[in-house]
Amino acid sequence: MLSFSQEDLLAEIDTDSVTDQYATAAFKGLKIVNFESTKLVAKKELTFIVSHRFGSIKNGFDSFFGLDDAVTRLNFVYGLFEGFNISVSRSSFQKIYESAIKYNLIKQQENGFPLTIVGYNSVLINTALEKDNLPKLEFKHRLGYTTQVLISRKVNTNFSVELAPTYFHDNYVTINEQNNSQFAIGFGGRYKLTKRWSLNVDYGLHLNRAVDSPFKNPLSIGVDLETGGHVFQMHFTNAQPMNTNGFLGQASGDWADGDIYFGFNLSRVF
Amino acid sequence: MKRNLLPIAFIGIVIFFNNCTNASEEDLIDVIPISENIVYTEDVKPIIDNNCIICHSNPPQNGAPMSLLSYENVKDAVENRNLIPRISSEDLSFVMPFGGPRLPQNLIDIVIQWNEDGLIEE
Repeated sequence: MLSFSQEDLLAEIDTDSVTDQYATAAFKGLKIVNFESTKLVAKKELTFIVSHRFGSIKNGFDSFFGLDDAVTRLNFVYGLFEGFNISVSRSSFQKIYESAIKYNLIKQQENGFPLTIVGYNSVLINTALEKDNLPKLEFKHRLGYTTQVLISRKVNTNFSVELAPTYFHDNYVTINEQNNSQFAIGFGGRYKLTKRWSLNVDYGLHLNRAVDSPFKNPLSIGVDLETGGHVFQMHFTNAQPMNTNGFLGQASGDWADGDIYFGFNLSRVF
Repeated sequence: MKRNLLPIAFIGIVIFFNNCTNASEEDLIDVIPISENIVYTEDVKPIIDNNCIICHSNPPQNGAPMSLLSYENVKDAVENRNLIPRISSEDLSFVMPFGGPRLPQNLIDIVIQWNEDGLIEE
């Protein structure tokens, strides 16, 4: 009985289920770094993603390069049917619960349509806002929404790019001059270095940030490491939040000052 | 059939919840002018109790280095432990309360004013 269950586990690892089912897999991770990639979880598969963003490396040994100020996000993604994912997550950054759908609209073909297009919609609930501090707070102020179109192209076997026009709305913003409805364009790319390693970059251009906003556009640089059933993504970024509304709207680090955060996303397929 | 229904159901849920509002900090705070003399027990202690002592208890929790339960604790934190820079930072990875949104500016201003008024207890 015991040996039987062990063989079962081994068989699961051997299937290499992380590898994308499509002939032209532009990205190996569900995310490039912060941005969603055009990859989806396969039908009936459950993926668990643990993400961490440490605090600023700028404070050095005082906080052990940010270790003491880390935030975490736990995310479950399930392939409901082919080309359709649902996910739920909880982040310790502002105690945000989030749920999303991600769905394939068009797939890139070898000798056909040149792009993969994926839709992404998300609802967020910020449970860290306190009525004690904000006396007129109502439940609706906790909500935020994301609508995103992810457009990727696998240029050749080693190089893929993505464009991500994004609309997001936070029912509550801390900066008084900030418009609650916000627009951004995401740019991402992945360059395969070896069979297991790739270099990933993404950047979010916010289009209507308030003039006096302390927040910056998020730029992230990292690597993917593929092992058995895992994709391990390690990176540096100037955004500590991990939800789309968070890293686009509230990235407070600054590359120019060395005020950046180390982070990783670790995904495991069940 | 199932394929088409699910996205529609989700969109329905989104619309159901989607009472979009456009609130910012100044819309949700009570605009009360800062009183003449800020004192600890009346003005500052409620802010500390609501936001800090979850971790800054005695003994402190979750890696907090000190307690903020008493007047002496808080006075010491303002004088020697950078309490004001820590709550007013705009670096979200540094600002206290940790992991939370920055406190509304009107509450930060009360603590700053209390410090300027001489950290009076009551």
